Amino acid sequence: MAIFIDLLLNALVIGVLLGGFYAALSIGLSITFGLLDVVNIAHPTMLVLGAFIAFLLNSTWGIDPVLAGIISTPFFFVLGWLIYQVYYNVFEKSGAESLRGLAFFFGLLFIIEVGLIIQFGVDHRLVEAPYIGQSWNIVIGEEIDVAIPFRLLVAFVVAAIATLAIHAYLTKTFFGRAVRAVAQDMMALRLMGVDPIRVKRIAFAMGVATAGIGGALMIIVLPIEPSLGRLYLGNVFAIVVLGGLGSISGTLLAAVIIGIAESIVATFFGPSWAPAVSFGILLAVLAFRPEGLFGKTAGAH
Amino acid sequence: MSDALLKIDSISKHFGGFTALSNVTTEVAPGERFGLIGPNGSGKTTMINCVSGLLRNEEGKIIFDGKDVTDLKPHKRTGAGIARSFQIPRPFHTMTVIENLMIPAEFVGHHRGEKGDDRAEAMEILETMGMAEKADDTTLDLTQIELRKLELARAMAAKPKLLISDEAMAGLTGQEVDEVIDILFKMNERGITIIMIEHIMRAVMRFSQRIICLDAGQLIAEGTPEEIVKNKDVERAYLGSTDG
Amino acid sequence: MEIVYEQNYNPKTADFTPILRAANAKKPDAIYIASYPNGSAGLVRALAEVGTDAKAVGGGMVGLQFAGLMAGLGPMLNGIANYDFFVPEPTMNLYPGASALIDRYQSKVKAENLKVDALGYYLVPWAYANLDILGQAVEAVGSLDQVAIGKYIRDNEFTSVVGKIKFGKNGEWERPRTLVVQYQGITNNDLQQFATPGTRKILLPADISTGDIQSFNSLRK
Ligand SMILES: Nc1ncnc2c1ncn2[C@@H]1O[C@H](COP(=O)(O)OP(=O)(O)O)[C@@H](O)[C@H]1O
Ligand SMILES: [Mg+2]
Repeated sequence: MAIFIDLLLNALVIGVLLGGFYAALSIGLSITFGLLDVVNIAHPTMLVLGAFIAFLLNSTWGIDPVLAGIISTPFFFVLGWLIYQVYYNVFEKSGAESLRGLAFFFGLLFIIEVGLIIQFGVDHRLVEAPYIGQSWNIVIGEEIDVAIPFRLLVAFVVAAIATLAIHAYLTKTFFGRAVRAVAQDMMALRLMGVDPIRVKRIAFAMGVATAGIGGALMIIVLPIEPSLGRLYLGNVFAIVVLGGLGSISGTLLAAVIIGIAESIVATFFGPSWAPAVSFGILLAVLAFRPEGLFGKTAGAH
Repeated sequence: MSDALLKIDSISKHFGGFTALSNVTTEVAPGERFGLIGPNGSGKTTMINCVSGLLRNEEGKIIFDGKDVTDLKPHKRTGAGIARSFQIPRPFHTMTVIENLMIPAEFVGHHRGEKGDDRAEAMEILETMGMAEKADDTTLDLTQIELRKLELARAMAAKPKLLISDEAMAGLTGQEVDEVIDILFKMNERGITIIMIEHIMRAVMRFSQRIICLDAGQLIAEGTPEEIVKNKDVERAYLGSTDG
Repeated sequence: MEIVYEQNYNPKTADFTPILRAANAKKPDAIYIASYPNGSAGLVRALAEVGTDAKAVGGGMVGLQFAGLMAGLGPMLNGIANYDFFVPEPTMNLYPGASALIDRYQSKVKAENLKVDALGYYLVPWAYANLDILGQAVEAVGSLDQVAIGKYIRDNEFTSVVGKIKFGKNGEWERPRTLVVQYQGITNNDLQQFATPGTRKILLPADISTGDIQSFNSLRK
């Protein structure tokens, strides 16, 4: 019994931490895809780019990876700004965004990936930080103790702060409100005195900017290599859809649910099932709530 | 009428080979209550889409407040003082009623460099509409009349000089129609020029000081409500159409 | 031997601590891991964070031989016993030309800033030997006739940078050459320590061993 409680407690704690990490990977997509309807399938690969930048700063100057992520975030903001500019002028403006836009981001994904291979090679990379490989052991009872790996704790705390900050920005500021409005009704927004293209450009840039800090967390949690993004593509989209398109808090909650589910399944049922769990939960939820956990049903149009 | 607030100068609009507006010219004076009528499909919405900038007229000019706005983007026109409501309400459905008003209030204020309490202003508009207690409801919970009022309130929140109301009363009961007319009168008293597009004749006739009538994209009549009622071309246009 | 826990993991696994905890709960004496680089690094970290009472840990962990991962994981590798192909231990000098090859490789990588493994122990000697043997066979046969080349390779013993090589009936080496090494004495994340003897003692094959297996936890601080 003690062993069971020990395993369960640890699975829950790890699940929550893992969820925070997943949220950091998904939050940018929750903005670009969830709020703006731009199917940025290159997002996970941008995260890998962010991870490599953190690696470069860490291995060259010994800069802490979290700090490296903060440093590279403005760079990603500018990158996102430029990408949206191209995307808008070439695809969205002419209404050709659905399939050709997808091809555009697919192309971007490969360009980034190949660029990384040329620059860094195909080897796996890790960063060094005093908290990686260390854990905090909390003794709760006889044969029951919870070990909290610092690398996951750091990822969780940073992800939670970033997610809550983005959530507050989108709900509390006038610009944030316009971002939430822009995907719902661009035409109506135009008549409210708002330039929807400008709103979308800035919001898209914000979504991409999360790849700076998100990428840094990625390399803190796991070893990275250029093609890693594609591996996580399905998961991040699953989390954004599960949380409900357009809901930042929904994305955070969905990420934590997936994290806990994966960790419980890995502990009690076998790790090979764990990743299938996210899609299982997604299917089950969509069957009952097609709009996702926190998605709002669209009004009659 | 040389100092008109809005001058529509020989505008035409085509959709492919179809002519939706053909060489329409008219003027709206500051403070005027202006009616725009015409059978279904006659080009009323198209005309105000050209005025608000959602559509570009291929020919002719639109002068607002002494400035040529023909090439201005819609959000710039809103900033300049043109606001409109939609025929079919299209609120931002993930937001509360007050949040729906805050967007135009803040952005137009921002655009004009004004500093004010946007939330208080938005609340004040809701109060004049009798919707103050709905401020924090989501728009999904609103009734038809409340949605129509929200459309008008949102247009008002942009602090316009000209408000265009596109069929704000379709499908409402007689009492509700009166309620909306009262609101429009109140706004007009505050000095806002109003263009009312309406199918309900009783409403336009009661509200408007001057009316124009479109038929198949052409301006066929212009005058006071009394003159329009007696106009043979208007009668023919309405009798000739299936839903007049 | 009784197997108390056996599971597969998915390549997408981001954190391995739940897996290690579940395995530890069965109180195993040894943990055999067959993993690809992501999983190898993830499990090494989980071992550092959660620990284990198993006496032997490792086996077929791909990736721990790579310079980048070795440097990145550093002291977390101590105690793990894993397969390898070539390590800079004194007994490996039996292979004539190997250390000269490694030296050449390392200085070329450094001079030209090549984006490949910085040390090159793991695959370089055997990759070199592969082509060397093929080259020797082509020259001996005197043509590119594949059947003849194949027969020559099967029937003859070769000498290359990895010593004498002869293939057995099943196509494998007649005498197995895969090493089992145990990581030990790693104190930091400096890459150069892995270019000197001692960090990876050879346990097997017995004739070239440079150390005896020690229990996992005895090699961790
Ligand atoms: N975007 C469009 N594309 C093609 N035809 C249009 C478009 N918008 C309006 N029309 C056509 O233009 C004519 C005028 O429409 P509209 O201005 O909506 O009429 P109403 O007077 O009823 O508001 C109609 O025949 C309509 O079908
Ligand atoms: Mg209409």
